[in-house]
Amino acid sequence: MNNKRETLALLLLLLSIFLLTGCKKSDKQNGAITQSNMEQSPYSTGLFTIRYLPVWTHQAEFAGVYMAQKKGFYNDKGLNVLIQTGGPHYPPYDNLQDGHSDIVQMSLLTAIKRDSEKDNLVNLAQLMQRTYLMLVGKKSRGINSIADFNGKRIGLWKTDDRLLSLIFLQQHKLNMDIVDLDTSINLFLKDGIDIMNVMRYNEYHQLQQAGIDIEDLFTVSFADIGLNVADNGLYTTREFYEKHSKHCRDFVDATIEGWLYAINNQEETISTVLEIMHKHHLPANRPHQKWMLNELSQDFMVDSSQIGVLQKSQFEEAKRLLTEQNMPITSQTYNSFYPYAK
Amino acid sequence: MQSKQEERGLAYQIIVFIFFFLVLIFSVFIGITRFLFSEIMMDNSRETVSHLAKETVYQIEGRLSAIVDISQSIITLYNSDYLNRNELDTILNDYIYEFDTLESITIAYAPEYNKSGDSRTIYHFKNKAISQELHPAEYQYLDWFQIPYELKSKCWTDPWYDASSTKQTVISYCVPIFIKGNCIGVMRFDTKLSGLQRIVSPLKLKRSGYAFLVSSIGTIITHPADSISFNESIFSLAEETKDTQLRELGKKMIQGETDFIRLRGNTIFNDSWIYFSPLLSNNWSLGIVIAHKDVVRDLNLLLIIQTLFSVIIFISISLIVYYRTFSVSKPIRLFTEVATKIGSGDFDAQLPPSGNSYEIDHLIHSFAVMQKSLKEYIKNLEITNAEKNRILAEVQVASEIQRKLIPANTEHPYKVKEIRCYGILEPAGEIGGDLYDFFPVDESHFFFVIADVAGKGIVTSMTMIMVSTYLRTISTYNFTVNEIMKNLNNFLCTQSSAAIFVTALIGIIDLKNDELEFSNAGHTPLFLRKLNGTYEIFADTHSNPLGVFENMEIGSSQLKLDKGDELILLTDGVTEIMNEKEDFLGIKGVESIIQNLETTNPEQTAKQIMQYVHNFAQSIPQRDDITILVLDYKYPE
Repeated sequence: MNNKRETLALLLLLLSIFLLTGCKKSDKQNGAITQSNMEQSPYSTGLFTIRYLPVWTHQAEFAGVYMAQKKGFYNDKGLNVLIQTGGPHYPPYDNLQDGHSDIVQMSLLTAIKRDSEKDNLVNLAQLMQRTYLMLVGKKSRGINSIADFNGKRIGLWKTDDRLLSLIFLQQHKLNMDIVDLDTSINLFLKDGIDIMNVMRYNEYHQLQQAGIDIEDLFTVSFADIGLNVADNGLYTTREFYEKHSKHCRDFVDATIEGWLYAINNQEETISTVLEIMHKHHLPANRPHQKWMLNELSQDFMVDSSQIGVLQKSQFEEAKRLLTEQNMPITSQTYNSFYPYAK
Repeated sequence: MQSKQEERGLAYQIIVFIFFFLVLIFSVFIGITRFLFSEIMMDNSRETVSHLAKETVYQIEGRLSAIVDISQSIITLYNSDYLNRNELDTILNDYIYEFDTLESITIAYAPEYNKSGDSRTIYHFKNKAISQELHPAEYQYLDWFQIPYELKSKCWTDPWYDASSTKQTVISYCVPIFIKGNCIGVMRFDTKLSGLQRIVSPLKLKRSGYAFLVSSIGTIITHPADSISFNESIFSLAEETKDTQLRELGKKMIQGETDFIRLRGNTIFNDSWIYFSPLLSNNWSLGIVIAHKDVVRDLNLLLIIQTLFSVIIFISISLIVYYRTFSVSKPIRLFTEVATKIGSGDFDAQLPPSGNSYEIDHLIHSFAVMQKSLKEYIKNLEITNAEKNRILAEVQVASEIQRKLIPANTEHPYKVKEIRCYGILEPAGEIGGDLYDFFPVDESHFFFVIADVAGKGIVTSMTMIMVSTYLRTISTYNFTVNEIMKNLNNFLCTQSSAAIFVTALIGIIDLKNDELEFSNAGHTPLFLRKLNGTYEIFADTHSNPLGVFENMEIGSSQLKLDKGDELILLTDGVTEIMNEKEDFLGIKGVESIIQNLETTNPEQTAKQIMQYVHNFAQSIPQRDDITILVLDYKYPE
């Protein structure tokens, strides 16, 4: 009986994939998105569909998008937003260029660097005005200053999110053994590496939830040492933007509205985030998501006219940092890269 | 009122006393029991859970050790040069088939050593051996590969979901593969987590006790609440309720310590005891939770039984005391009714026959004696009362006689126009010892006297009558005042009892010569008030009081009287009267009164002095007779 049910479920799943992807080739190993891991709006009839890919797995980092969808802010603007499952296996830039996603979220540094390939990225909104990236090392492993980094093993994400860390290492001329990391912090906990990159709103708190006290860590917060590069923003391709500029604008407005709702209704938002994470079988607990939402809220505690705006200075600073390290950058101007510039 | 009487009742007082006494005794008893037994209960609980934990750890370790043993055998086979890939895979299949605990075996090479695509997972699906090829991109950053590969050492992973092959949540024993000193990959041996959960989850202890597993980084792996497993860590639970004690407990658990700690926070553990012990193979920790109420349940039951026992004892004793007291006090109540009757005059009321105790019998007997004595006493009292009434009647007659001895106030006594006289005598009792008198001795002499017989009562009164009568008699013999006084003294010494003495002031006014001769035998001074309002005081006495020393020589004094002179005579009842502050009026007080007099005849003077005296004394009762006699001489009309 069970076997029959499993077979039926598998057939239905395959049929759904076939219908919704337009028979696109499913290539998960290359980081493509499938319909099965999307968050869908319940009211999609007659609406313009936008496939949104977050930069990481489901968590409070994308709370504004979840709440905009849940509260109908997207629907109110005639949008049906499919929230895809992100993570290190689903690189946003590649999925965007491959046409698996319409709007993606990624860091400014990544966008400017990767745009050197096609010069067709459009920044729709700069959600995070600062970087939350940090390096942490255990004092018990002899890490008490930046100078102690030399000769040690550092774990960096294998994705482009490591860019700022690489710039830091080069700026400080640190000779370190780099170990590529996925999403886990366990190699650091098991002392397989001495230092690792963490996001203040995520891994930094995960370490605390693994029994490590803050005072036992040596930390370098890039925002505090002159490497305060704006982080995540919303991006699409120029083709999509020019074809659907109104929908793009509506998506940005609804997303910011969702963020403001999330910040003003944090308990409800966290419950929603936990619900989504549990649905996707992701380990989740309330204190961690609460910490994350609280940290990210700082970017929205500013003048409402500045929310989501990419400043020219931020754009130029990111280009400068990449250029200094001989990394490729976009050829686009600020006004071209960020069409909403005033 | 009724309830207050009941509160003072014998039974009530005894029961209240017993209540407080029992509360004290049982409180101490319960406190000692709790103190002694709580330690024992704790030790027993610790012993029980540690035994349970050891047994569980032993079972889990046995399961993990089996995997470790298998891994050693397979690594040995792998490192031998006798087997090609197919032969090795066949043996690996046999192992998986033979050992239930072994779910799959994976050989994963680092990318640079996987040129020929040898990375693979071998597992069984529907009794069919499957060898699934793996690509390094799928696993090279996963914990099960990266940690042993980077650390170059064997390790157990935390639970993870093997989505690519067995579709099971497993824990993996991972062994790095070395060739010529180079780590080329990792061999992974999976066992299902559910196998460990089956050991841990059924553990039940007392009513609410349960066991849970915590990974090496604090993640809760098994817990009766499904929503907690894999989602929460000991530290996230501690953070949610800001429970620093739980965080410290979590640190101890992941550091491989063993302890038995009580938690009191608002976490999912509530008020409970947690025993934790490490799994040495994979640095996990087994926790056993037992609610504090379960730990002390037996003790609480014992204390409840003790308390109930105390209450039953109290109620039993109270009932016994109440009924016994009621029984004992029954004759007392009858007795009280009889006493009430006797109190209201019924001395023949019948006493209860006997009580039910020696004390009550003794009381009834004593009361019977008292009743008899009372009857006799009352009989005597009636006789005495009759006698007293008779005496009282006689005293009243004597009083009447005494009052009649005092001359009536008229403007000119005995029509002696030179003299105006007014006297007031306020006796302190029915009959008094003061006296005053005045009368003409002959046509040219006017006699007056004021005297105070010491004491009160009949004897004093009789003495006063004697003095009055004697003076009336002897003054007719034309004696001088000192002769009259001397005769009176001798008369009193011979005729009166030794205890009686008399103070007296006697005067005779010579109406023709305007002279006054007076003699003072221990009496209050004579005041002479002139017409212009000035006054003189004649305080010298001419002898001791009368009736003490026989044949005593007594002198006298002469005064020339002017027209309008007013003689004021008092007894010591005036000078010795006291006010509320217990101050005497005294001679000075009298002088002050006389200074302020604005009267023009003896009556006004006497009444005004009396008014001043009363004002001075206010509500203080009069203790002595008060007598005032005022005479004026030839007051100009």
